[in-house]
Amino acid sequence: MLATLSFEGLAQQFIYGIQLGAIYALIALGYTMVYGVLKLINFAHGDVYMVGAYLAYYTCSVWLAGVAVEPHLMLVIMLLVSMCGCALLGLLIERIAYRPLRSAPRISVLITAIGVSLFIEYAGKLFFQTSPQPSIKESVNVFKDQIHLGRLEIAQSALIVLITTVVLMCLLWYFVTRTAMGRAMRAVSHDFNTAALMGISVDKVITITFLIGSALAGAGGMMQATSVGTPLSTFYGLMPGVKAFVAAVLGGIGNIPGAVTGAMIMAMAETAVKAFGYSNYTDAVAFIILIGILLLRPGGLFGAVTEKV
Amino acid sequence: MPLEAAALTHQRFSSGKFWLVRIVSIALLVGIACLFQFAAVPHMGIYDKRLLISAMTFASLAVSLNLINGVTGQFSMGHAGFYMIGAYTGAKLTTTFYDRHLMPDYAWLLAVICGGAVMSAFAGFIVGLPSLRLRGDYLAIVTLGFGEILRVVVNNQDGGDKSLFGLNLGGSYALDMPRGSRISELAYIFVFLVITIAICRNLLKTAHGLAFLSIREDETAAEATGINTTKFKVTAFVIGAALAGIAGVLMAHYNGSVTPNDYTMDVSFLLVTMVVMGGTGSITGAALAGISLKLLEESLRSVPDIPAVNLWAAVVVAILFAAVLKRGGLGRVLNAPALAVVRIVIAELTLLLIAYMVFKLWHTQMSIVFKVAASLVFLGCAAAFHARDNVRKALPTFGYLVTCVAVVLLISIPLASAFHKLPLLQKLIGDTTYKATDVRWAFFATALVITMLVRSQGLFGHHEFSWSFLGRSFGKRSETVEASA
Amino acid sequence: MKETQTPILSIENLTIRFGGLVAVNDVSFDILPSELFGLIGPNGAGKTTCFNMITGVYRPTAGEIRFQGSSIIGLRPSLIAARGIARTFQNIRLFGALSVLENVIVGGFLRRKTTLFESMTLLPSAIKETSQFASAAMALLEMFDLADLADTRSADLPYGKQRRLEIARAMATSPRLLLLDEPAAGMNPQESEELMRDIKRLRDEFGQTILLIEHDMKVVMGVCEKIVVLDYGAEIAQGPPEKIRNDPKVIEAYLGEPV
Repeated sequence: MLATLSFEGLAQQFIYGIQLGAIYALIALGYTMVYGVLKLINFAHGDVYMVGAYLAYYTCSVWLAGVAVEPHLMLVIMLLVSMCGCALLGLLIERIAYRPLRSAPRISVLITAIGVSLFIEYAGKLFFQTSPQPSIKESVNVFKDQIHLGRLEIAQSALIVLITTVVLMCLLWYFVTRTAMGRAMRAVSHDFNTAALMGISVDKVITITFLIGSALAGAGGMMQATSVGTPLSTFYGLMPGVKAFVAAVLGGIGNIPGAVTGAMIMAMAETAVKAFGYSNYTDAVAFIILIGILLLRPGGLFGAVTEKV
Repeated sequence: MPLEAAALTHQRFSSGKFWLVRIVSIALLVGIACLFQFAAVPHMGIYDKRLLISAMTFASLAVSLNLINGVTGQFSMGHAGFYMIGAYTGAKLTTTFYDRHLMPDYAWLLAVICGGAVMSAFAGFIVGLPSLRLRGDYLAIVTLGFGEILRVVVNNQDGGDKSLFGLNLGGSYALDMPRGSRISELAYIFVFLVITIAICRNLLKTAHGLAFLSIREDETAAEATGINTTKFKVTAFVIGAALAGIAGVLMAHYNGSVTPNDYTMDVSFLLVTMVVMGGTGSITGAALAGISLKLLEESLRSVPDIPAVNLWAAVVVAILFAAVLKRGGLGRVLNAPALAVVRIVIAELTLLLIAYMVFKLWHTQMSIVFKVAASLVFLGCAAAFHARDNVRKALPTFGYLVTCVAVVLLISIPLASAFHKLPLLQKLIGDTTYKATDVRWAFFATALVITMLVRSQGLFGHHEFSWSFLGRSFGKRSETVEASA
Repeated sequence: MKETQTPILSIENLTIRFGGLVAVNDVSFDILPSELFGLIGPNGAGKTTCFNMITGVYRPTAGEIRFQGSSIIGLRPSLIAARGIARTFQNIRLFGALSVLENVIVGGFLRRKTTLFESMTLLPSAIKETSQFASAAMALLEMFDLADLADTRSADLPYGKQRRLEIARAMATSPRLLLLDEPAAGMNPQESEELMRDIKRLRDEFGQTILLIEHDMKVVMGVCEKIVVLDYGAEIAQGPPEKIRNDPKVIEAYLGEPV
């Protein structure tokens, strides 16, 4: 623990934190956008992230296993497959489970979301390989080398993850602020009914929101699985999903920059807890932060102070 | 509607009759418990006993959760946490203080039950407080978080340097209780289930129950009508938590050890599923769903593996069938009369399960008197059930539904073998089979989603009279069931 | 002349600000016991906000609310209900899944004497009290002509009957002051007539004090003895119906609405 208190140690932890934060941000964005538009906590979002990781694994280790592909291209293909596959999954979920319940009480929709999440996790066990737990081979990750900055070591992959995330977020930002559809999204999250009355196709907006959010989560899943290489299981997305949700709430749910900020804070907190040796408690810490925020400042950092939750 | 105008206002309250019924009910309860304990249990296999205990414990947990979620409308998803607190409090107290020479076993059990109930009640109080400021989905997450925090914390209490205050709760393994401390019995768990149901049902028979219900219906209106919603919401949490805690104590003292893996989020989700599917606010629904889902879960373990092709063929055929029917008659199937039928189906399945147990009973070595008595009781319940108005009315639709299911199966089996021959599918699915236990959760989840899509109040709907185990409320109740369909 | 009676409700300089918006600005009026009092004004004038402050849902930024002599600012709504102020809502808020009878029983519940424990163990005292509540509720339902619908699910009732049920439920709390928020909304002329008769009967037979928010001028003029008019949160007129009817400021606020 003392080692981390040195400048290099802190900086090193900081870098770990940023990489983790980037992934959490990608997931948190999906949560926050869907909540902004539908006022729904999409419990199944973490599982979309998981599917993204699995799609990446299947792409490189099963479907294209025998094919000779240039490594950098392979990564791009994996990313695209994950993003598209997850976008499709998000679309399906919205159509089948959420759309019919548009006017149902909130509790029903929440329970449905839980049901969908459980379904993906357990039905996934029937389709995805879970034992032995697969993981993406290290060889796929061509950015393994470390960059040395003085005495600091930054993994190349961390940088790539960060850059990709930033690019994706910039695209999102451009979309939300500069395009007509993005404006429509913001209108719907402000006032659902009025937006509908103004001629905005609410269905289309919601579909696009799910598509984008799920694609981002898929990207996050692919990048995390590839760069860190932890073994996959269908519960892979459960805790990251929860932590990303807390991040979204922390930043002010419905608020896009807030989601990113919240994600960074969550990641830093988690890295700090791990650095202090209490890595077993990281999950609990996430929930404690959540409870704290909801009780003290429910609107989150960027939300209204007295948001009526 | 739990309280009926006629029953309440025109019935003259007879004190003598009341106490007579009370005493007879209690005597009957004690009698059945003793019967269980001395005549049935010694002849039950370990597996069956465990099954029954598991089912009854979850039924009581579902009923106590129903008080918070269904009756008071507070979305609590951390019920496993209260269950766990009770179990661990009891286990730790027994591990530290149990001495069989100090007091008789039942006294110790009672003492430990009190300890567990108090700790869980306190936890319920703590968790209930956020309910005052948070609405639905946020409260759900917070309660879920509470359950998880608790589990993670307990997981790390192994007396080592990672634990808080050096507390040793066995960490992620188990906290084993001393020899001879397995003092809980099936009969106790049965009695506790009845008590849990009785408490909730009593509440719903009085105006107090209405106060809780009013909070679920419209909190602002309830507050304006003089109901201190804060007090009632927290009270619901406290009572629900205390009941769950006692269930935990009883279970812990049956198993002889406690481990954090028994109290994961899955357990909370399962309980929520039971309450939701049984019907938010319905005690009958919660209890039945609790028993059925748990028994289903256990019995699926011994079901042979399902070939993947068959499963998917059945699913595809069912979906097509439903789509076809929708143009014609599915609309008819998905409304009130058919839902009454589904309830009846569940009740029939429960009766079937009981019949099966009675059947197995006949193959044991118990006394003939007991076997005959059990059979008569079962036959009586079955007859009374089938004599109800709404059951008789719903049987035609029952036949309709059964026919649909049979048709689906008849079509899908040959279809599956046909599919099997297709090369593409061969490559994709091949000869994989699914273990029933893996499928069960996917099945539960699907059932949950479909329930929400079709009927979000769950199978038994909102508040409904739960018939007391002593079968007093047939007849008049059938109208209430129709009315709230 | 009426100065000798102490007001049952006394509003003094009541003000509430939401951020920069002053929703209610320095409003004062007194309501005497058994008086039929009207609170009117164009939409958004702050009438329901006043109700919300009186019933404890909002806390005023400034001013005083005195009920039967003591201040009720800062008390929670259930406590204010216990003290004797009952209300109905603009958008009817019934306990939908509960029956008509049960809705009214909830109203009587706040005068309970039994404890939760007695209910949980179903002691004779709890059973007796529930019966008493039910009888009292039935009596109230008879009065409001809803007795034959006692076991009907309240959400299934037609609109007019739902309104009446809401008033019955409020009456079940044995209030000293009844606040009715737009009770005639959505009613046809015949239903409004019945409503006017009901309101007058509540006062005549039970001495009930009633404060009424209403847009239907026929009802207001026909029922109220004294009226306060709000516009943009401020009081622009106060007095008996004849005075209000002819007040130029009132007419201007409503912009020519027939009064």
